[in-house]
Amino acid sequence: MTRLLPALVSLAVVVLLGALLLTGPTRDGLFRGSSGLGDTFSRRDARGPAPDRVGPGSRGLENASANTVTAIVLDYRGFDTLGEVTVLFAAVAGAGLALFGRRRRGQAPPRRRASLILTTAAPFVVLFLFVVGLAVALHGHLTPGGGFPGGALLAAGLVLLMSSTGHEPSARRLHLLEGLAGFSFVTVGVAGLVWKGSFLAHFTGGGALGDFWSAPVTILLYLIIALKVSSELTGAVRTLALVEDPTDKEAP
Amino acid sequence: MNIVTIVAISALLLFGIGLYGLWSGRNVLRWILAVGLMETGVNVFLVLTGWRPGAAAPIVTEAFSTSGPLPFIDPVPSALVLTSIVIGLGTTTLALALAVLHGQEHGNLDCGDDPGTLEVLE
Repeated sequence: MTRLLPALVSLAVVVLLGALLLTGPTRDGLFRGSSGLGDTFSRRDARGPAPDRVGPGSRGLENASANTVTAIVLDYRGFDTLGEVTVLFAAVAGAGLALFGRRRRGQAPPRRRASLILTTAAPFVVLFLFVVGLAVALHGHLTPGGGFPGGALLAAGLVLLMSSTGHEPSARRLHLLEGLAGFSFVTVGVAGLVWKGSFLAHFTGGGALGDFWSAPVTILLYLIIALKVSSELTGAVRTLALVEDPTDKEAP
Repeated sequence: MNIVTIVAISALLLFGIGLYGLWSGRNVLRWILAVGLMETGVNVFLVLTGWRPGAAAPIVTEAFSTSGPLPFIDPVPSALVLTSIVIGLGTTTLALALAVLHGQEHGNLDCGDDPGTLEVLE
């Protein structure tokens, strides 16, 4: 009975939601395939009529990022992204605060030696992760990806380095990187305010659509986000991995 | 049954599995995983609302024409889900830290009201 009730209630909720969302006018409204925003977005050029056909190498789109999701995240809703990064920072800082003073005692926490497989493979995998992570972060305006997955890849490399060598990155250095990245984000925003009149406005134009340099501010912002995300994630893993394990007390 | 219905039902099922996991146990780690599953379900559903038949990823290529229908999916839900995933990661981190704290205080990850009362009830 105690197991059946939650299952039945969950099933009922799913069926109810399905009936609500997947039938009738709600379904037509939800799955038009367009929010209506997508159609107006990137079609209009404020400075003149849009050309009939636009491809890499020609102008006429409102935004320089070929990847429209990136254009939304870092240009139209750039301020939201600043808030998003702030929330991520607050969550990781909260995790650190919750576990403050709960680290293992002693200067060097006791750790098991990394296995041969890990120590042999780690350099190659770490190099691969760093290169791919940077590439993903730098090409966010052209390909799927960007600063967040790029930063996650960089953090994966750092964590792998941490567990294979046994050296943890110093908290001070991580915090410095994190603070520097946050400061740079706001600086880019203020630069937009100074030169273009609105916070986080893209203050330099770019080359032709589809080129690497087509959206310099997007590249800069995504690089900053990648640095911030990677330092935050590494810090979070470090915080969670280095707490004292209560079941470990018997071990010497 | 077209593809939208199939993916939508999968998303709802993910949400339902998460709901069941949240409801059926007292293990903190189980709750965190359950909330993660529910998040995934919601994200899949949101991305699905931007889908349209035969559409490509929302990246401007040579096939893009300013007249006629857009050849790609609606990018707005995708951008929303990007934010949602990152925030979900942050909340999961915080929840895990609190779970570690709970584990250190009580020696286990079970979160009941009061152990004595629970024993009486069961």
